Amino acid sequence: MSEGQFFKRLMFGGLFVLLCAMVIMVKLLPLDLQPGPLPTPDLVICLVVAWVIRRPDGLPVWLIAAVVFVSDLLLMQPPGLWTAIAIGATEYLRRRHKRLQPLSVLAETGVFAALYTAMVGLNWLALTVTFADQPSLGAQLLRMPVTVAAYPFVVLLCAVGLGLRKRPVPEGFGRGSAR
Amino acid sequence: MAYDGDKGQDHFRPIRRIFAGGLILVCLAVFLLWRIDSPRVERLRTDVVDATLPRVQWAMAPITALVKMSDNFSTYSALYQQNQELRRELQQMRAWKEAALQLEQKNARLLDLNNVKLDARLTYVTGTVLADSGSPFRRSVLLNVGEHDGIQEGWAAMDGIGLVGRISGVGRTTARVILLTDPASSIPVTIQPSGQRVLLSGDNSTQPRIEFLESVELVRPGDRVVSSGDAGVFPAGILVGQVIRGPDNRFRVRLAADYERLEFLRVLRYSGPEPIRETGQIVRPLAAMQGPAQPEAADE
Repeated sequence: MSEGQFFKRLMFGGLFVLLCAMVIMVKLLPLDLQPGPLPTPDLVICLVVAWVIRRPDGLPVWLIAAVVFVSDLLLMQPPGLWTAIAIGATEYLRRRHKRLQPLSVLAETGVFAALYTAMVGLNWLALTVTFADQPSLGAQLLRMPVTVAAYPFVVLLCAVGLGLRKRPVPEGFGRGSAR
Repeated sequence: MAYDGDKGQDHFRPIRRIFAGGLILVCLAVFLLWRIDSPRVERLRTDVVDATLPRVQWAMAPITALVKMSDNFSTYSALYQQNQELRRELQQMRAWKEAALQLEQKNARLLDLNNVKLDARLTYVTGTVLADSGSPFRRSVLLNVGEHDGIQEGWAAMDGIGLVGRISGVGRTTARVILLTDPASSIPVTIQPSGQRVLLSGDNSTQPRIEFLESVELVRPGDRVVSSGDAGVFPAGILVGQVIRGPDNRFRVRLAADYERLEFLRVLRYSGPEPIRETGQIVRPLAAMQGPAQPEAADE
């Protein structure tokens, strides 16, 4: 790996952490103390998935684990469980990286919707099995459409604002033709 | 392999996989530990919150202030109407104030006549709201006072008027207040004129539910709800709100505290009623009991 590429990865990693920190901070602002009719979207997971589909090499597993774990702690969720699920989901995406690469944003949102539903279901199952205190499944599932609706916007923001795009499928074959 | 990022992964794939699997296992272990020994992991959480949030306060405070200012600004349009309404209310309040003053004097005189001893130990610490829970399923706020200021687990927090919640989780400089609307919150309260003792439990809506109500016919919408002081958690008699009938035809409580604008909260210092250790002391002092017990029996 060349020096320039290393710094680029470092920069993207830093950007990811910064974005997640911003999302968590805005969530923590004491603005809406009254429960509203709609739950807020889970933007951290949107960011993680969008990033992993676009630049799987730019986001190491340990960074995802650290960020999601801290968000677990700060947002009063059961610590560790959602992190484990998120790591599992991103590993699943990484392994299918080649097939996900040519998808359109709409198809990608579909993939995200299925993945997020499975994650919420798994989370609910684990909490039920361990008899932990949790909001009703209905309330948790109500959060799903909101989060899925937010996903394309996160993708747009990443693509336009940060220049985080999928790599174009290379014309030729062989090493070095991608870049 | 066209992507340079994947180039290395071919060789390292098994190691990578083990690493990711290990991370998942560690996370699950933390989760299980939280399930088994919750207080210790919650302590870790409190420490993390304590270490991070007060440090980023400089970034959060201006945004909060800006949004609140714009909220306030949007009410300017209705300023004239509001002013009129306030004047009318002020008129009514003057009458009430007069009545209250007279009642207070009367009450003081009566208390004096009866030699009632008032509980004067209730003092409070005031804190600012730093952050909320950030999750749509939890209702709590973080205050900027903590162990450092002598805050203890379980104390009651109120705004100027009514009860807001109870302290749960104390860091060195921060403390978390579980609001009455949180699904995990459940406190003993009394419904005022009928004196019925019920539980007030939150369900993530704006109006908490009344549970374990014994006789429904004695309760009417509009009744006052105050904390009952049962279980020694809260001091008794703090205003909580008013009974209303919810849309689902259940009795709920409209909270007196202004949840829209929680900025400063008072945390009441309260260590609970003094425990009574020996049963004999309830009736009379022990020494008195042993001596004159015999003659009483002889009299009869």
